[in-house]
Amino acid sequence: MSARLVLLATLLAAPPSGRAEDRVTVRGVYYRETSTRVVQPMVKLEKDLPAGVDVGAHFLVDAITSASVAAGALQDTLFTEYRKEAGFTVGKTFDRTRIGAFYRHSREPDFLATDVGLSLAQGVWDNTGTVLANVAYGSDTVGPMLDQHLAVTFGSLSYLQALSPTLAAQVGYEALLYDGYQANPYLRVPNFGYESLPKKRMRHAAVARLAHYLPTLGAGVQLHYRLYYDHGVGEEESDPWNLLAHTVELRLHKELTSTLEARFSYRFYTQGAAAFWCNTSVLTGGSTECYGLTPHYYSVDPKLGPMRTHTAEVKVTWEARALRTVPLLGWFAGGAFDLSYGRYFQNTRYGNAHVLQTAYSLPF
Amino acid sequence: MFRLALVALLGLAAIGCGHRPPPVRPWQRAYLSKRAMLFDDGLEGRFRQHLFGSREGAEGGYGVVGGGCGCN
Repeated sequence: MSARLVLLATLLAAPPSGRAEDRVTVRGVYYRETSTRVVQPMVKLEKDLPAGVDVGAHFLVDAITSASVAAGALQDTLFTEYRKEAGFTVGKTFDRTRIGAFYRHSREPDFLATDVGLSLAQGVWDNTGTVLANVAYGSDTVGPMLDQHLAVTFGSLSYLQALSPTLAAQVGYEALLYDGYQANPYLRVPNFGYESLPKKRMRHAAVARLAHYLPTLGAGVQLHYRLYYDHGVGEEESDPWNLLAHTVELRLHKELTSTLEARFSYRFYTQGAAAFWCNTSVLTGGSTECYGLTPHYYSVDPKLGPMRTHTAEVKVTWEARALRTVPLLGWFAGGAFDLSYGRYFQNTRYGNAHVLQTAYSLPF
Repeated sequence: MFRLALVALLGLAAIGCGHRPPPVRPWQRAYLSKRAMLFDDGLEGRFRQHLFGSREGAEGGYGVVGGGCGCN
Protein backbone atom coordinates (compact mmCIF):
# COMPACT_ATOMS: atom_id res chain seq x y z
CA MET A 1 0.00 0.00 0.00
CA SER A 2 2.78 2.39 0.82
CA ALA A 3 4.15 2.06 -2.70
CA ARG A 4 0.83 3.21 -4.05
CA LEU A 5 0.62 6.14 -1.72
CA VAL A 6 4.14 7.21 -2.50
CA LEU A 7 3.31 7.08 -6.17
CA LEU A 8 0.19 9.13 -5.79
CA ALA A 9 2.07 11.70 -3.77
CA THR A 10 4.74 12.24 -6.35
CA LEU A 11 2.57 11.79 -9.37
CA LEU A 12 1.70 15.37 -10.11
CA ALA A 13 4.86 17.00 -8.94
CA ALA A 14 7.33 14.89 -10.83
CA PRO A 15 7.61 12.05 -13.28
CA PRO A 16 7.05 8.64 -11.68
CA SER A 17 10.78 8.11 -11.51
CA GLY A 18 11.11 7.40 -7.83
CA ARG A 19 10.28 9.55 -4.86
CA ALA A 20 11.28 13.15 -4.47
CA GLU A 21 13.28 12.58 -1.29
CA ASP A 22 14.19 10.21 1.50
CA ARG A 23 11.97 10.73 4.49
CA VAL A 24 11.24 9.52 8.00
CA THR A 25 7.83 10.13 9.57
CA VAL A 26 6.65 9.54 13.11
CA ARG A 27 2.95 9.81 13.94
CA GLY A 28 0.77 9.41 16.99
CA VAL A 29 -2.99 8.94 17.12
CA TYR A 30 -5.42 9.15 20.00
CA TYR A 31 -8.97 7.92 19.33
CA ARG A 32 -11.67 8.01 21.96
CA GLU A 33 -15.30 6.98 21.77
CA THR A 34 -17.79 5.94 24.43
CA SER A 35 -16.42 2.46 25.09
CA THR A 36 -13.16 2.33 23.17
CA ARG A 37 -9.84 4.14 23.30
CA VAL A 38 -7.04 3.63 20.79
CA VAL A 39 -3.49 4.97 21.11
CA GLN A 40 -1.36 4.37 18.05
CA PRO A 41 2.30 5.33 17.61
CA MET A 42 3.82 4.62 14.21
CA VAL A 43 6.99 5.26 12.26
CA LYS A 44 7.68 5.11 8.54
CA LEU A 45 10.95 5.27 6.63
CA GLU A 46 11.32 5.83 2.87
CA LYS A 47 14.65 5.63 1.06
CA ASP A 48 15.78 5.90 -2.54
CA LEU A 49 18.55 3.56 -3.61
CA PRO A 50 20.70 3.57 -6.75
CA ALA A 51 19.43 2.29 -10.10
CA GLY A 52 15.88 3.57 -9.62
CA VAL A 53 15.12 1.35 -6.66
CA ASP A 54 13.20 2.66 -3.67
CA VAL A 55 12.36 0.95 -0.41
CA GLY A 56 10.12 1.72 2.54
CA ALA A 57 9.21 0.27 5.89
CA HIS A 58 6.71 1.06 8.61
CA PHE A 59 5.88 -0.16 12.07
CA LEU A 60 2.92 0.67 14.28
CA VAL A 61 1.27 -0.41 17.49
CA ASP A 62 -2.43 -0.08 18.30
CA ALA A 63 -3.13 -0.07 22.02
CA ILE A 64 -6.86 -0.70 22.12
CA THR A 65 -8.64 -0.30 25.44
CA SER A 66 -12.26 -1.26 25.27
CA ALA A 67 -15.25 -2.02 27.42
CA SER A 68 -16.27 -5.44 26.24
CA VAL A 69 -19.91 -4.41 25.82
CA ALA A 70 -18.75 -2.62 22.70
CA ALA A 71 -17.53 -5.97 21.46
CA GLY A 72 -20.83 -7.61 22.17
CA ALA A 73 -20.17 -9.35 25.45
CA LEU A 74 -22.79 -9.42 28.15
CA GLN A 75 -20.76 -7.85 30.91
CA ASP A 76 -18.96 -4.54 30.77
CA THR A 77 -15.34 -5.25 31.70
CA LEU A 78 -12.35 -3.22 30.60
CA PHE A 79 -9.57 -4.87 28.64
CA THR A 80 -6.60 -3.76 26.58
CA GLU A 81 -5.10 -5.53 23.62
CA TYR A 82 -2.26 -4.62 21.30
CA ARG A 83 -2.09 -4.81 17.54
CA LYS A 84 1.37 -4.66 16.02
CA GLU A 85 1.91 -4.13 12.34
CA ALA A 86 5.02 -4.04 10.17
CA GLY A 87 5.24 -3.53 6.44
CA PHE A 88 7.85 -3.29 3.72
CA THR A 89 7.77 -1.91 0.20
CA VAL A 90 10.18 -2.06 -2.70
CA GLY A 91 9.89 -0.45 -6.10
CA LYS A 92 11.83 -0.07 -9.31
CA THR A 93 11.38 2.73 -11.81
CA PHE A 94 12.05 2.44 -15.54
CA ASP A 95 11.58 5.78 -17.25
CA ARG A 96 7.82 6.42 -16.89
CA THR A 97 6.99 3.02 -15.49
CA ARG A 98 7.24 1.88 -11.92
CA ILE A 99 6.63 -1.55 -10.52
CA GLY A 100 6.32 -2.11 -6.82
CA ALA A 101 5.65 -4.79 -4.26
CA PHE A 102 4.65 -4.77 -0.61
CA TYR A 103 4.42 -7.13 2.32
CA ARG A 104 2.55 -6.41 5.54
CA HIS A 105 1.87 -8.40 8.65
CA SER A 106 -0.45 -7.46 11.51
CA ARG A 107 -0.75 -9.37 14.75
CA GLU A 108 -3.14 -9.10 17.67
CA PRO A 109 -4.36 -11.76 20.09
CA ASP A 110 -7.42 -12.67 18.04
CA PHE A 111 -6.54 -11.51 14.54
CA LEU A 112 -3.51 -12.25 12.38
CA ALA A 113 -3.32 -10.67 8.95
CA THR A 114 -0.75 -11.06 6.20
CA ASP A 115 -1.01 -9.09 2.95
CA VAL A 116 1.15 -9.10 -0.16
CA GLY A 117 0.67 -7.11 -3.32
CA LEU A 118 2.05 -5.74 -6.58
CA SER A 119 1.56 -2.36 -8.22
CA LEU A 120 2.21 -1.00 -11.67
CA ALA A 121 2.20 2.71 -12.51
CA GLN A 122 2.54 4.12 -15.99
CA GLY A 123 2.99 7.81 -16.74
CA VAL A 124 1.00 8.97 -19.77
CA TRP A 125 0.47 12.08 -21.84
CA ASP A 126 3.88 13.61 -21.17
CA ASN A 127 3.64 12.45 -17.59
CA THR A 128 0.66 14.65 -16.80
CA GLY A 129 -1.36 11.53 -16.03
CA THR A 130 -0.77 8.15 -14.49
CA VAL A 131 -2.54 4.85 -14.84
CA LEU A 132 -2.12 2.76 -11.72
CA ALA A 133 -3.01 -0.89 -11.18
CA ASN A 134 -2.77 -2.89 -7.97
CA VAL A 135 -3.36 -6.49 -7.06
CA ALA A 136 -3.07 -7.90 -3.56
CA TYR A 137 -3.90 -10.94 -1.53
CA GLY A 138 -4.56 -11.10 2.18
CA SER A 139 -4.79 -14.07 4.49
CA ASP A 140 -6.38 -13.53 7.90
CA THR A 141 -6.66 -15.85 10.89
CA VAL A 142 -9.44 -14.84 13.23
CA GLY A 143 -11.01 -15.65 16.58
CA PRO A 144 -10.08 -16.17 20.23
CA MET A 145 -8.79 -19.64 19.29
CA LEU A 146 -7.42 -18.39 15.96
CA ASP A 147 -9.33 -21.15 14.25
CA GLN A 148 -11.17 -19.19 11.55
CA HIS A 149 -9.80 -17.98 8.22
CA LEU A 150 -10.54 -15.24 5.77
CA ALA A 151 -8.95 -14.70 2.36
CA VAL A 152 -9.13 -11.30 0.67
CA THR A 153 -8.33 -10.85 -3.01
CA PHE A 154 -7.94 -7.27 -4.15
CA GLY A 155 -7.65 -5.55 -7.52
CA SER A 156 -7.73 -1.85 -8.40
CA LEU A 157 -7.30 0.44 -11.33
CA SER A 158 -7.11 4.21 -11.24
CA TYR A 159 -6.29 7.11 -13.49
CA LEU A 160 -4.92 10.39 -12.23
CA GLN A 161 -4.70 13.38 -14.56
CA ALA A 162 -3.55 16.98 -14.25
CA LEU A 163 -6.19 18.86 -16.22
CA SER A 164 -4.60 22.30 -15.91
CA PRO A 165 -1.81 23.90 -13.82
CA THR A 166 -4.35 24.25 -11.00
CA LEU A 167 -6.74 21.35 -11.54
CA ALA A 168 -6.30 17.61 -11.05
CA ALA A 169 -8.73 14.70 -11.11
CA GLN A 170 -8.63 11.04 -10.28
CA VAL A 171 -11.04 8.21 -10.96
CA GLY A 172 -10.60 4.69 -9.70
CA TYR A 173 -12.25 1.38 -9.16
CA GLU A 174 -11.48 -1.33 -6.64
CA ALA A 175 -12.83 -4.84 -6.22
CA LEU A 176 -12.38 -7.02 -3.16
CA LEU A 177 -13.45 -10.61 -2.79
CA TYR A 178 -13.85 -11.75 0.82
CA ASP A 179 -13.91 -15.50 1.20
CA GLY A 180 -14.15 -17.04 4.65
CA TYR A 181 -15.06 -16.06 8.17
CA GLN A 182 -16.41 -12.52 8.29
CA ALA A 183 -18.30 -12.46 11.58
CA ASN A 184 -17.29 -10.77 14.80
CA PRO A 185 -16.41 -13.71 17.06
CA TYR A 186 -17.72 -11.89 20.14
CA LEU A 187 -21.13 -10.71 18.96
CA ARG A 188 -24.17 -12.74 20.02
CA VAL A 189 -27.61 -12.55 18.46
CA PRO A 190 -30.65 -12.97 20.74
CA ASN A 191 -32.09 -16.50 20.45
CA PHE A 192 -29.28 -17.72 18.16
CA GLY A 193 -25.94 -17.15 19.86
CA TYR A 194 -22.79 -16.18 17.98
CA GLU A 195 -23.54 -14.46 14.72
CA SER A 196 -23.48 -16.18 11.36
CA LEU A 197 -22.50 -14.35 8.18
CA PRO A 198 -22.23 -15.43 4.54
CA LYS A 199 -18.78 -16.74 3.65
CA LYS A 200 -18.39 -14.85 0.39
CA ARG A 201 -18.72 -11.15 -0.26
CA MET A 202 -17.81 -9.28 -3.42
CA ARG A 203 -17.14 -5.63 -2.66
CA HIS A 204 -16.89 -2.81 -5.22
CA ALA A 205 -15.77 0.76 -4.69
CA ALA A 206 -15.65 3.49 -7.31
CA VAL A 207 -13.96 6.76 -6.43
CA ALA A 208 -13.76 10.19 -8.05
CA ARG A 209 -11.61 12.99 -6.66
CA LEU A 210 -11.07 16.55 -7.80
CA ALA A 211 -8.53 19.10 -6.57
CA HIS A 212 -8.41 22.79 -7.50
CA TYR A 213 -5.86 25.37 -6.39
CA LEU A 214 -6.59 29.08 -6.19
CA PRO A 215 -3.25 30.91 -6.43
CA THR A 216 -4.61 34.36 -5.64
CA LEU A 217 -6.05 33.08 -2.35
CA GLY A 218 -3.26 30.69 -1.49
CA ALA A 219 -5.97 28.11 -1.00
CA GLY A 220 -7.17 24.85 -2.45
CA VAL A 221 -10.30 22.76 -2.43
CA GLN A 222 -10.78 19.03 -2.85
CA LEU A 223 -13.96 17.09 -3.43
CA HIS A 224 -14.08 13.29 -3.04
CA TYR A 225 -16.88 10.87 -3.76
CA ARG A 226 -17.03 7.11 -3.26
CA LEU A 227 -19.76 4.73 -4.36
CA TYR A 228 -19.70 1.36 -2.63
CA TYR A 229 -21.72 -1.74 -3.38
CA ASP A 230 -21.39 -5.37 -2.40
CA HIS A 231 -23.09 -8.64 -3.21
CA GLY A 232 -22.86 -12.32 -2.44
CA VAL A 233 -21.17 -14.93 -4.58
CA GLY A 234 -22.70 -18.30 -5.38
CA GLU A 235 -25.74 -17.81 -3.17
CA GLU A 236 -28.57 -20.13 -4.18
CA GLU A 237 -31.28 -17.94 -2.71
CA SER A 238 -31.54 -14.15 -2.59
CA ASP A 239 -28.44 -12.04 -2.22
CA PRO A 240 -27.67 -11.71 1.50
CA TRP A 241 -25.47 -8.61 1.12
CA ASN A 242 -26.62 -5.93 -1.33
CA LEU A 243 -25.23 -3.11 0.82
CA LEU A 244 -25.01 0.29 -0.86
CA ALA A 245 -23.05 3.24 0.55
CA HIS A 246 -22.09 6.77 -0.45
CA THR A 247 -19.21 8.83 0.88
CA VAL A 248 -18.65 12.53 0.18
CA GLU A 249 -15.76 14.56 1.50
CA LEU A 250 -14.87 18.22 1.12
CA ARG A 251 -11.46 19.61 2.04
CA LEU A 252 -10.40 23.23 2.18
CA HIS A 253 -6.71 24.10 2.40
CA LYS A 254 -5.49 27.57 3.29
CA GLU A 255 -1.89 28.77 3.47
CA LEU A 256 -1.86 31.09 6.47
CA THR A 257 1.81 32.05 6.22
CA SER A 258 4.75 30.80 4.19
CA THR A 259 5.28 28.02 6.73
CA LEU A 260 1.82 27.48 8.21
CA GLU A 261 -1.11 25.79 6.50
CA ALA A 262 -4.57 24.83 7.72
CA ARG A 263 -6.93 22.20 6.38
CA PHE A 264 -10.61 21.94 7.16
CA SER A 265 -12.46 18.83 6.11
CA TYR A 266 -15.95 17.41 6.34
CA ARG A 267 -16.92 13.86 5.45
CA PHE A 268 -20.41 12.43 5.18
CA TYR A 269 -21.07 8.72 4.97
CA THR A 270 -24.38 6.92 4.56
CA GLN A 271 -25.27 3.30 3.94
CA GLY A 272 -28.24 1.02 3.72
CA ALA A 273 -28.43 -2.34 5.44
CA ALA A 274 -27.15 -5.69 4.28
CA ALA A 275 -30.12 -7.62 2.93
CA PHE A 276 -29.98 -10.34 5.58
CA TRP A 277 -29.58 -7.91 8.51
CA CYS A 278 -32.40 -6.88 10.80
CA ASN A 279 -32.52 -4.69 13.85
CA THR A 280 -32.68 -6.76 17.05
CA SER A 281 -32.31 -3.76 19.33
CA VAL A 282 -35.55 -2.91 21.08
CA LEU A 283 -34.03 0.40 22.15
CA THR A 284 -33.89 1.57 18.54
CA GLY A 285 -37.25 0.22 17.44
CA GLY A 286 -36.13 -3.28 16.50
CA SER A 287 -37.29 -6.67 17.65
CA THR A 288 -35.40 -9.64 19.02
CA GLU A 289 -37.69 -11.84 16.91
CA CYS A 290 -36.93 -10.16 13.61
CA TYR A 291 -34.77 -12.97 12.26
CA GLY A 292 -37.64 -15.46 12.46
CA LEU A 293 -37.16 -19.09 13.38
CA THR A 294 -34.53 -20.53 11.03
CA PRO A 295 -32.42 -17.81 9.45
CA HIS A 296 -29.35 -18.71 7.44
CA TYR A 297 -27.53 -15.60 8.54
CA TYR A 298 -27.90 -13.33 11.55
CA SER A 299 -25.88 -10.50 13.06
CA VAL A 300 -26.18 -7.62 15.49
CA ASP A 301 -23.19 -5.79 14.03
CA PRO A 302 -24.30 -2.16 13.65
CA LYS A 303 -22.08 -1.60 10.64
CA LEU A 304 -24.23 -4.00 8.64
CA GLY A 305 -27.35 -1.97 9.34
CA PRO A 306 -28.41 1.45 8.02
CA MET A 307 -26.19 4.16 9.39
CA ARG A 308 -24.80 7.63 8.86
CA THR A 309 -21.62 9.24 10.06
CA HIS A 310 -20.26 12.77 9.91
CA THR A 311 -16.60 13.64 10.35
CA ALA A 312 -15.35 17.19 10.84
CA GLU A 313 -11.65 17.85 11.21
CA VAL A 314 -9.17 20.67 11.36
CA LYS A 315 -5.49 20.13 10.70
CA VAL A 316 -2.50 22.47 10.92
CA THR A 317 0.85 21.84 9.24
CA TRP A 318 3.89 23.87 10.21
CA GLU A 319 7.17 23.84 8.31
CA ALA A 320 9.66 24.14 11.16
CA ARG A 321 12.23 26.36 9.43
CA ALA A 322 11.93 28.91 12.23
CA LEU A 323 13.66 26.46 14.56
CA ARG A 324 16.88 26.67 12.56
CA THR A 325 18.52 29.08 14.96
CA VAL A 326 17.13 27.58 18.16
CA PRO A 327 19.68 25.54 20.13
CA LEU A 328 18.95 21.81 20.12
CA LEU A 329 15.60 22.26 18.37
CA GLY A 330 17.47 23.22 15.21
CA TRP A 331 17.60 19.52 14.40
CA PHE A 332 13.90 19.68 13.61
CA ALA A 333 14.13 22.68 11.26
CA GLY A 334 14.19 20.61 8.10
CA GLY A 335 10.89 18.90 8.76
CA ALA A 336 7.22 19.64 9.26
CA PHE A 337 4.84 19.15 12.18
CA ASP A 338 1.19 18.12 11.81
CA LEU A 339 -1.54 18.47 14.39
CA SER A 340 -5.16 17.59 13.76
CA TYR A 341 -8.35 17.19 15.73
CA GLY A 342 -11.46 15.55 14.39
CA ARG A 343 -14.90 14.72 15.66
CA TYR A 344 -16.51 11.56 14.36
CA PHE A 345 -20.29 11.47 14.76
CA GLN A 346 -21.91 8.03 14.56
CA ASN A 347 -25.56 7.17 14.90
CA THR A 348 -24.74 3.65 16.06
CA ARG A 349 -24.26 2.32 19.57
CA TYR A 350 -20.55 3.14 19.40
CA GLY A 351 -21.33 6.81 19.95
CA ASN A 352 -19.35 9.85 18.88
CA ALA A 353 -15.57 9.93 18.92
CA HIS A 354 -12.65 12.32 19.30
CA VAL A 355 -9.66 11.82 16.98
CA LEU A 356 -6.38 13.56 17.74
CA GLN A 357 -3.34 13.09 15.51
CA THR A 358 0.14 14.54 15.56
CA ALA A 359 3.12 13.87 13.34
CA TYR A 360 6.60 14.98 12.43
CA SER A 361 8.09 14.30 9.02
CA LEU A 362 11.75 14.88 8.18
CA PRO A 363 13.40 14.58 4.77
CA PHE A 364 17.02 13.48 4.87
CA MET B 1 -17.80 -4.71 -13.65
CA PHE B 2 -14.03 -4.87 -13.20
CA ARG B 3 -13.57 -5.42 -16.95
CA LEU B 4 -15.86 -2.50 -17.71
CA ALA B 5 -13.84 -0.24 -15.41
CA LEU B 6 -10.62 -1.48 -17.01
CA VAL B 7 -11.85 -0.62 -20.50
CA ALA B 8 -13.12 2.77 -19.36
CA LEU B 9 -9.90 3.73 -17.64
CA LEU B 10 -7.71 2.53 -20.48
CA GLY B 11 -9.94 4.48 -22.85
CA LEU B 12 -9.42 7.61 -20.81
CA ALA B 13 -5.70 6.99 -20.77
CA ALA B 14 -5.69 6.42 -24.52
CA ILE B 15 -7.40 9.76 -25.04
CA GLY B 16 -4.76 11.38 -22.91
CA CYS B 17 -1.97 9.58 -24.73
CA GLY B 18 -3.06 10.93 -28.10
CA HIS B 19 -1.27 13.54 -30.11
CA ARG B 20 -2.90 16.46 -28.39
CA PRO B 21 -0.52 18.64 -26.39
CA PRO B 22 -0.56 17.89 -22.67
CA PRO B 23 -2.67 20.20 -20.49
CA VAL B 24 0.29 21.02 -18.26
CA ARG B 25 3.88 21.70 -19.22
CA PRO B 26 6.71 20.68 -16.89
CA TRP B 27 7.34 24.28 -15.85
CA GLN B 28 3.66 24.73 -14.93
CA ARG B 29 3.57 22.12 -12.18
CA ALA B 30 4.39 24.30 -9.18
CA TYR B 31 0.80 24.55 -7.97
CA LEU B 32 0.19 20.87 -8.58
CA SER B 33 2.81 20.01 -5.97
CA LYS B 34 1.01 21.97 -3.25
CA ARG B 35 -0.45 19.98 -0.36
CA ALA B 36 -3.88 21.13 -1.39
CA MET B 37 -3.47 19.26 -4.69
CA LEU B 38 -2.28 15.93 -3.36
CA PHE B 39 -4.73 13.10 -2.85
CA ASP B 40 -2.23 11.10 -0.82
CA ASP B 41 -2.80 11.10 2.94
CA GLY B 42 0.11 8.83 3.82
CA LEU B 43 0.00 7.39 7.33
CA GLU B 44 -2.85 9.69 8.22
CA GLY B 45 -4.98 8.22 5.48
CA ARG B 46 -3.98 4.75 6.51
CA PHE B 47 -5.36 5.35 9.99
CA ARG B 48 -8.51 6.97 8.68
CA GLN B 49 -9.32 4.05 6.44
CA HIS B 50 -8.67 1.59 9.23
CA LEU B 51 -10.97 3.57 11.51
CA PHE B 52 -13.77 3.91 8.99
CA GLY B 53 -13.42 0.27 7.95
CA SER B 54 -13.92 -0.86 11.53
CA ARG B 55 -17.03 1.27 12.08
CA GLU B 56 -18.72 1.40 8.68
CA GLY B 57 -19.98 -1.25 6.30
CA ALA B 58 -18.15 0.00 3.22
CA GLU B 59 -14.50 -0.54 2.50
CA GLY B 60 -12.06 0.19 -0.28
CA GLY B 61 -11.57 2.94 -2.80
CA TYR B 62 -8.38 4.38 -1.35
CA GLY B 63 -5.75 1.73 -1.84
CA VAL B 64 -5.00 -1.74 -0.61
CA VAL B 65 -6.99 -2.52 2.52
CA GLY B 66 -6.44 -5.07 5.24
CA GLY B 67 -3.91 -5.10 8.02
CA GLY B 68 -5.89 -6.69 10.79
CA CYS B 69 -9.01 -5.79 12.64
CA GLY B 70 -8.22 -3.89 15.84
CA CYS B 71 -11.94 -3.46 16.24
CA ASN B 72 -13.11 -6.12 18.65
